[in-house]
Amino acid sequence: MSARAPLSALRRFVLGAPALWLLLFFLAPFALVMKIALSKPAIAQPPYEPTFSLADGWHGFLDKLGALSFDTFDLVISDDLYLSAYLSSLRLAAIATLLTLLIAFPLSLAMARAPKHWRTALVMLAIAPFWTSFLIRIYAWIMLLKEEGLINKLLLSLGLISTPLSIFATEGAVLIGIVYSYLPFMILPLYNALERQDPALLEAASDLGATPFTSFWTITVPLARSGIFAGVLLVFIPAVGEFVIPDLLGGSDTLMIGRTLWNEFFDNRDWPTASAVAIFLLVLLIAPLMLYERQQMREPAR
Amino acid sequence: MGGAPLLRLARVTKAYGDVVAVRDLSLDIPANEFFALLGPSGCGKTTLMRLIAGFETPDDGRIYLDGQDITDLPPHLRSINMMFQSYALFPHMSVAQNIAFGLKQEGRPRQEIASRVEDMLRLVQMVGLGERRPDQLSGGQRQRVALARALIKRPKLLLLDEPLAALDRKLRHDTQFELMQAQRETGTSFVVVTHDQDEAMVMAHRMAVMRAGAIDQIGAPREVYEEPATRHVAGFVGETNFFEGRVIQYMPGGVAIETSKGLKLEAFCQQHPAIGAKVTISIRPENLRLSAPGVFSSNGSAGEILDQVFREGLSSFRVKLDTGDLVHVRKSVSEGGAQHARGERVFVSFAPEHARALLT
Repeated sequence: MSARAPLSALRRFVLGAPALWLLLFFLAPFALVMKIALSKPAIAQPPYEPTFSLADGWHGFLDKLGALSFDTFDLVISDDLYLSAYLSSLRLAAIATLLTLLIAFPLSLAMARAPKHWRTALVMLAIAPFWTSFLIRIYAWIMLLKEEGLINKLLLSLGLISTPLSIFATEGAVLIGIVYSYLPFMILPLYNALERQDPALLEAASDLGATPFTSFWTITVPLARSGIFAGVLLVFIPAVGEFVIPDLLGGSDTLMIGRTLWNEFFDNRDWPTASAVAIFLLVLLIAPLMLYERQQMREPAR
Repeated sequence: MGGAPLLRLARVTKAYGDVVAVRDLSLDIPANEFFALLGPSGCGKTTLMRLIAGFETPDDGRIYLDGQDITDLPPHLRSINMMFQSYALFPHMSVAQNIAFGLKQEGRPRQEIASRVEDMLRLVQMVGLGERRPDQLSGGQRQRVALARALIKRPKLLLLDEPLAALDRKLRHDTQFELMQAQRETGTSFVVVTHDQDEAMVMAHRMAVMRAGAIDQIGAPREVYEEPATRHVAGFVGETNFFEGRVIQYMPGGVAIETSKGLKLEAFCQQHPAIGAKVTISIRPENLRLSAPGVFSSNGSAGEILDQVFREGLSSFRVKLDTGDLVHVRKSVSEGGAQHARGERVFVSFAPEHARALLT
């Protein structure tokens, strides 16, 4: 008994630590954001009211509690601006995720089928961009994409185009930025899933009369399903809320929810509405996570 | 029928870099045969099988199936199927889907696929387990699903890569007979690749013993056992005793040799070695006589019983000869040959016609 006591204390700590982490860094901030979303904007410091304080006493606390309202949520739902920003974000994130998947799948497949002694080096190459700051890499894309940028200069000097392409400050530039930035997050889970596949399975399929095309769609892709799901989520979720890429590479007409949120927060100083926008976004992104959870449950145990 | 064999390999060579895995190999396999490719690991038997299946292309030589040149045909166009050593069952498909896979590729109607899958489940005694997933099956059941999946297209030839290697001893024994029965019932030619000579001896109609990318000998198991063509075959197929020496004299039907320790022995010989040539005599443990000293005095040596092991109705002795050689002698207990105590002096000898003098 005495020997087990410290062990079980350790166990309790190990099990409790993630819960504590979630409480401190997720639930508590979420409660704060929720409270701000229920407040009203004010010209004050901080720019919303009511603000709770210990000096209020019990009645003061109840009064202020009564002053909280769901007005901001009503606003976010009723104003088309927010709805179209959400939809536009979802659309851009979906297109970017699809493009990332289409590029990452052949890359991951090639990595997984490469000779064993090359694979580690290829994985390192795939994550090599992370050694440079994300922001700097996005700035570098401005240099590449703008009208007098490198890409246009190259195409012009090759005579392939006569007038510079205007990619910069368009949705296309935003898509390029997202696909480029999130590609490693798609490659790693895909590579992991593909690398585990027994090459004998494809030989067996071929032996039973399947063409390489059929083998790919009936064996390789279904067995990579968990990797595809993980990669899609890792790209799609952050891409929906992406702010830096549309802000730096997008034009004024590129509507994304991350930028809308920024505008509410910093330009309009409307913290309650910004908070409500953030909470809707969170709710929106829980849906794909729950889908992922369900697919994980269906995955046969290995 | 008659005429062309089902499978013909004509002077096939395959090398990986500097390593020649299969060297100028020719082989014919008729229809409805249970054939075993036997050899130690690295002898080229796996490469040979992959060449037949189409996963590898020979550097030289041709492969014919039913008279048709299939050398350059990809695997999915050959009417040959294979049972993989790891079974390679598709983990995301049920047993029935796994078995149906081959027929689906042929685009057969649903009804036909369903009934043929059912037939296959019956053949491998897995009726009612069609909805299971591979990870819900035992090792023996997986093996049977793999067999059913490979047989459902009614291939002319079925390749089996170490089909029993993943099974435990008891199961292996039973499965041998199931495979033999499946071969009889389907009439498909089975080519089993194995490193286990017991498996080949039990199951095969004919077997090829391979070494270093070439076939040392082809024949019925009993023939290979009794008339080994080379020292490698004699040592690989069954247990044997070797005596190395030089030819000193020709005898009727054989040769007399003298070992480096001065032992003079006679043995049957199918070749014609020169006087002085190095040969090896192979004599099976069951063909050695143990007698009291003085009864026999030729074609053998006196020695002392080292130890005795009793197993499956047989007594195995290790005898240390006075020349220093160690020999194994096996006697059936029912023949009354089991009464020798440890340390007992005996004379070990053999009839020349039971021993084989081998040049290589």
